[in-house]
Amino acid sequence: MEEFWYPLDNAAKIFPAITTDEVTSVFRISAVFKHKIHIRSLFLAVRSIERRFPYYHVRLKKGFFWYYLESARFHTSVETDNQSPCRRFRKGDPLFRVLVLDNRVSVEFSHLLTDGGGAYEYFKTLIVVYLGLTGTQVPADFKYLHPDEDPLPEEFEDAYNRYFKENIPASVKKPRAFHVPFPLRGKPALSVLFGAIPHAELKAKAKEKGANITVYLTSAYLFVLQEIYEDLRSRRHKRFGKLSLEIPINVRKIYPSTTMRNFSLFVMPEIDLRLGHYSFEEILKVVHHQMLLETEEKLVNKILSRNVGSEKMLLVRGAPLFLKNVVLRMKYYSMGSNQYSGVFSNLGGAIFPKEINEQIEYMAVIPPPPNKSIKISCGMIGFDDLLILGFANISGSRELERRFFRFLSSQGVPVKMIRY
Amino acid sequence: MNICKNCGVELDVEMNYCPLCGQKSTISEIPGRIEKHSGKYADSVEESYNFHELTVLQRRKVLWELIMIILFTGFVTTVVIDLIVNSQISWSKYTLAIGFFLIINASLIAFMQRRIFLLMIFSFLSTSLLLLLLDWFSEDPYWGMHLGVPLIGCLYVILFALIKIIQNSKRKGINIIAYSLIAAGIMGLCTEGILSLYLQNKLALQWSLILAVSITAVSTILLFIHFHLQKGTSLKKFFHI
Repeated sequence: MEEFWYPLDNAAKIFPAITTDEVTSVFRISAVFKHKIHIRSLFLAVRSIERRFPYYHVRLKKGFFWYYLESARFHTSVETDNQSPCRRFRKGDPLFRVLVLDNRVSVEFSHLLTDGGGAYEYFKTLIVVYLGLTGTQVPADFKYLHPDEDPLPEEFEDAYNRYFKENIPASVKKPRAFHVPFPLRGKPALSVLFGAIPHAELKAKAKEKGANITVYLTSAYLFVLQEIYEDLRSRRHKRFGKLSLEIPINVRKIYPSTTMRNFSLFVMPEIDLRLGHYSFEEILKVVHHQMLLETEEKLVNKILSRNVGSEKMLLVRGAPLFLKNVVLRMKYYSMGSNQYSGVFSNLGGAIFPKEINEQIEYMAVIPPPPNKSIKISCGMIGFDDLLILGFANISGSRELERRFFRFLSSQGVPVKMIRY
Repeated sequence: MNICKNCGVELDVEMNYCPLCGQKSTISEIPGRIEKHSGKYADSVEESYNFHELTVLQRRKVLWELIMIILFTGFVTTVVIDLIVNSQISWSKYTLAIGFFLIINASLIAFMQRRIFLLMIFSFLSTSLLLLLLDWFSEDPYWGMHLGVPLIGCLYVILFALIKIIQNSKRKGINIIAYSLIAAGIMGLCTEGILSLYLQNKLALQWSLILAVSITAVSTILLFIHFHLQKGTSLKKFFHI
């Protein structure tokens, strides 16, 4: 394998500065099969796709001005999945791993390497190759990153830089958002709860309200946050009356790019409770329009250029790494998590041919463990006729999840809590 | 179907071990799991005592027990002989003091290897105590406090710093030799400084300065070779802006 190195992409630059044992910046995608995992086939599959994804066979290195990723020779780590999910990758370790337990295969990626889009493509190839080795006939016309193909140069690229435009007006800093005031759990703080929703029922319900699934669930999330806010007695916790959710969007769907590195941005639909109580229908309307507006190409361009632009400033570039880390850490809270109340990450639907669908029970995603302000974040992935919502929670309360799933049930959407 | 009871994955028929966790597929026969889950391992060891099957900690404990038996036997023997011959504790006080020092240090090495800071502190205190005792026993008192303890203090501080630097070195090679040489040079300076203060009541450095300069030159070359001539160093990577 040819040796290479590349600087961290714009989204990844923040993570080395903020990563801790608890805020690990690691996310997970899992597939629960209908059979026990055949370990030899899985090992073979993992080995055989290594060459196809060279950009993930890298290690984080410290430069004088920035961190960078340097190619490294190692076999993909396949481990028993018997520890807490989304564990931090230690210094010098590879930045992704494959985990196995019983019927379940998972991949965990550091956000330094890629986002959900890139990790999903890797996982898709792994599943197809693994099932192929166990005797499943995969239709020849099914599109995935085939292990015999060479990776395209574009897959290595920092797509943020390609689509960066200069002289874009800066975005205005948003006011602070409300955060749920639940007490934090002791370390290890992360606990995960999964709920399954039938895709067809949810889609019908969302359509009935004139929304799509993301808008519907985002609105439900905001509605539940509003309930929590309104039930609070303490004025101290009600200082910030804005409720906002951070929704990652896959920019590959807006700008053509086959990059396998990070290429997502965030939209932040919000409601301002200082203006009064919102009915669910009102929230749906607000979120629908905000999402439409913020995913419009020019506005996406504005966010992208703002993010990339700040990294291109000479003062920022010329500062030594240790100084940058301090500033980035502060900015992460002031410009980042202070501005939203939670994260709702929708990976979309995992689409496989019938032959593969028959082998898989469901898929699930665990978002990166939230920080102490946010406390709870939610990830979602669809597979076949099921949508699985995974709540990553570092607080000692299940209030938000309980209210969220109860709300969906009250709306006539069946919810089944699943044992992961 | 051959299933690993630890990971729950399916193994090939000919697989005797799970490649994920390394456990045998028939889990009930594995002593490691008994140790982990039931805490009965210590009992089973006592029943079938085989040194080669013990864990590192257990081996260390056995060796420590042996050393303790030998030392205590030595104490008793020397004290009894001293009492019989001289009708009082005379020369055996030296063996007692040294034995006490050995007990502390053997215990530290046996059980505190991972807590290097505490190990060094306690070892320094026990060595200082030994020197003070020997000083107290000797005809010419006060050398312990003014010469022995400062020298030993310098030695421990330098050793501790050296161990920490070596532990934190990402790549271990000839840089370790350089660090050790520098430590020796600093120890030389400290030794001559403390000796001159004790003997002449003034700080006078001569041979240790020549030693320090020579060592600095050699160490600089070694460190240069280690850090700048390593394979694959790319300034473009390191300084990319």
